[in-house]
Amino acid sequence: MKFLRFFFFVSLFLFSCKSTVKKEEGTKIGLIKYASNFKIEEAGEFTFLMIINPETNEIENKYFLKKEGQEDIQGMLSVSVPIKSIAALSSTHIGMLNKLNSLDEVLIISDTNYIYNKTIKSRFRNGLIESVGGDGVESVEPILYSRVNVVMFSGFGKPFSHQDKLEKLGIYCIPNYDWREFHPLGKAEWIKVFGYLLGKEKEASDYFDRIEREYFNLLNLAKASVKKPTVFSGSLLGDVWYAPAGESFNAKLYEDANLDYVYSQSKGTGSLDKSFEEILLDNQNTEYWLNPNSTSFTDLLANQSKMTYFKAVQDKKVYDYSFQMNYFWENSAIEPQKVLSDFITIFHNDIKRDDSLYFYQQLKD
Amino acid sequence: MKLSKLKFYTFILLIPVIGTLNLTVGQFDLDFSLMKEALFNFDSTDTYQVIFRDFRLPRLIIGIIAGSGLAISGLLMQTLFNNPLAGPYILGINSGASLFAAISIMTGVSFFSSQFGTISSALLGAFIFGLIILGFSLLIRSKVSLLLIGVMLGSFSGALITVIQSMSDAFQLKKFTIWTMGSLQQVNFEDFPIILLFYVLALILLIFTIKPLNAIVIGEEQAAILGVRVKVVRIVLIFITAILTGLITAYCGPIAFVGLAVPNLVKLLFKTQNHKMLILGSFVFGILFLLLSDWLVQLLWSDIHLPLNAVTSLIGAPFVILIILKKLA
Repeated sequence: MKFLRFFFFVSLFLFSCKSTVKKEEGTKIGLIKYASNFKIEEAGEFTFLMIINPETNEIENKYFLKKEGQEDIQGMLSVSVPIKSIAALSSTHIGMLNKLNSLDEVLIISDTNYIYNKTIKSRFRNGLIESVGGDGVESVEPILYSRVNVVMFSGFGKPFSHQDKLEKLGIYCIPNYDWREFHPLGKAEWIKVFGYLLGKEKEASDYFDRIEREYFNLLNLAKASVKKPTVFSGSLLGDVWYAPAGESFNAKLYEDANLDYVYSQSKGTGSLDKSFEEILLDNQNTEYWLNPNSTSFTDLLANQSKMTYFKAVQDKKVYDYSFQMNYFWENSAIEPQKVLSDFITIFHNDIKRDDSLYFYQQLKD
Repeated sequence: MKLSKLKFYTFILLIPVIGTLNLTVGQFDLDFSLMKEALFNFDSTDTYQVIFRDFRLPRLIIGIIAGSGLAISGLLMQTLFNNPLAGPYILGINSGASLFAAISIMTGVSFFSSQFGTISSALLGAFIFGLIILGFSLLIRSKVSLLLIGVMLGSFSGALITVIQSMSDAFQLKKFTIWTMGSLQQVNFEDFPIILLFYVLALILLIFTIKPLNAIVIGEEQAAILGVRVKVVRIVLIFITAILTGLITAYCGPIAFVGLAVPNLVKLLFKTQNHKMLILGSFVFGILFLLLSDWLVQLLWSDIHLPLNAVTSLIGAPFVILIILKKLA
């Protein structure tokens, strides 16, 4: 009987997952509200995780999250949950695992230079965590040695290095596309993936529901502000100024913070590449400048003295998160409400509230 | 095919034409009245005036300096080493600039990786490597040995840069890669006093090398018989090249092809060994070549962001091949 039920649900799942994500009768899609690059499907006792490639919008990988007592599904990657160990190769993964109190499960990280979390740093110093390196010089050997259950890596549409060999050894490599989400809460929702893997789906869901509530409370607060300051964003790299496109993650945050982002009407979900001339023409009188990739006006002007022509620079209304870069990357994805809170503090001083800044700071002289 | 004087003067007249094109055409068309206003009645709140005075004009001036400087440096090195494949970068001076720029950009210290920090470091690197090669030129008689030392310096610093790159993060790598692509857009008006000081010094020294260069063409020994102090001339030529290439690399990044192709093109067109004409020709064609390349970069910007380095080679290489084929025919 047990076998028949198992067979029924597996058949149902295989039938439902052809190449596009569709909800079929008899299956229950786990409630994913904002994230578009993963799906959780629950079919009776069986849970499946699907990673969706944001380029093709098709399922890149599907995993059967095998609970105790369940059999493997032939032809499908079966990840035994709850996993006991993980390689977390991006800062955002560390931030999410931290929220689930699962840092002890982390055995592998990428480059230690990108880590803020003190527990992870301490465990690394004590030899409890290994690093695979970063920026294209990763080594697979620490992963093989540690025999982690899962390698969570930032997805780029390609398999992880030596993925086939690792999977034969029972080490599953799961691409994470949180960085390709367009909604701030979509990025944060990836905590549910960790939740399902670690057997902490309820904790993940509860945490997400809480930050969702906080996010919308802040959004409504921002919308109530009488001011809608003009803002531009990004920085110059070589001859090109990279600014968030109108449909991007950052542009969504600016919109939710009730800001008048200069390029809000532009198309695209990535970044706009503009000439300095264009940026100056569009923004000489824009009130605020976000993310200049600098922490002081001295550095900013040493980098390019022409920045003095911006009114925002003259008025010293320039803010950045790069004061604590690692802290920002580790926590901002899982705490988007704090980014929104920072924006309200910076831009809407007509709203009376606790005005502490979490990530952003005004540039120093 | 020999370039007549009339045609050459026509090319000289093309400089203001292409220069004006560079000033007016870009992301936004600027008219002459606005340019006049920006020059004589500058209003820093008028964005268009700012764009003209602080963006396009410095770009044009550094284009003139870099184009002429690199072409002349290339010519000097080709004559000194009696080798048409020699160029301004053959002595490894730009490698010094690149090495120090790499160190500066990839230290992770924001001040050093700023534009000011990068330029200062590149200048320092060019100066140190210039001194090294000058030191060797005092010790070594053989031109081939000197050439080899220059190439070795280049390889050595190239290897160091690779090591630094392997230890750098993605952002620093990108920043350095962009620097190596060359650009005329990083110069500000306040940079010009120092640029012009060294540029004019190099040009003044250049005037005194014309006669010795004409003698060196027939061979160093013959030049010595004619009374040329070959060693001194060699040092002066290296000094001029070091100043020009160091300065240009520091402010614009390493710009390929101009120093190699333009002197060869000029020799083909002028069919002379008279360095007065060759220097003048390199000066004019170097400017035209770089301004045209930059004009193309600006013209295509909205469709494709081409690095200046790529454009100089993309339009230069077929052009030089065409000239060579015409010469053979």
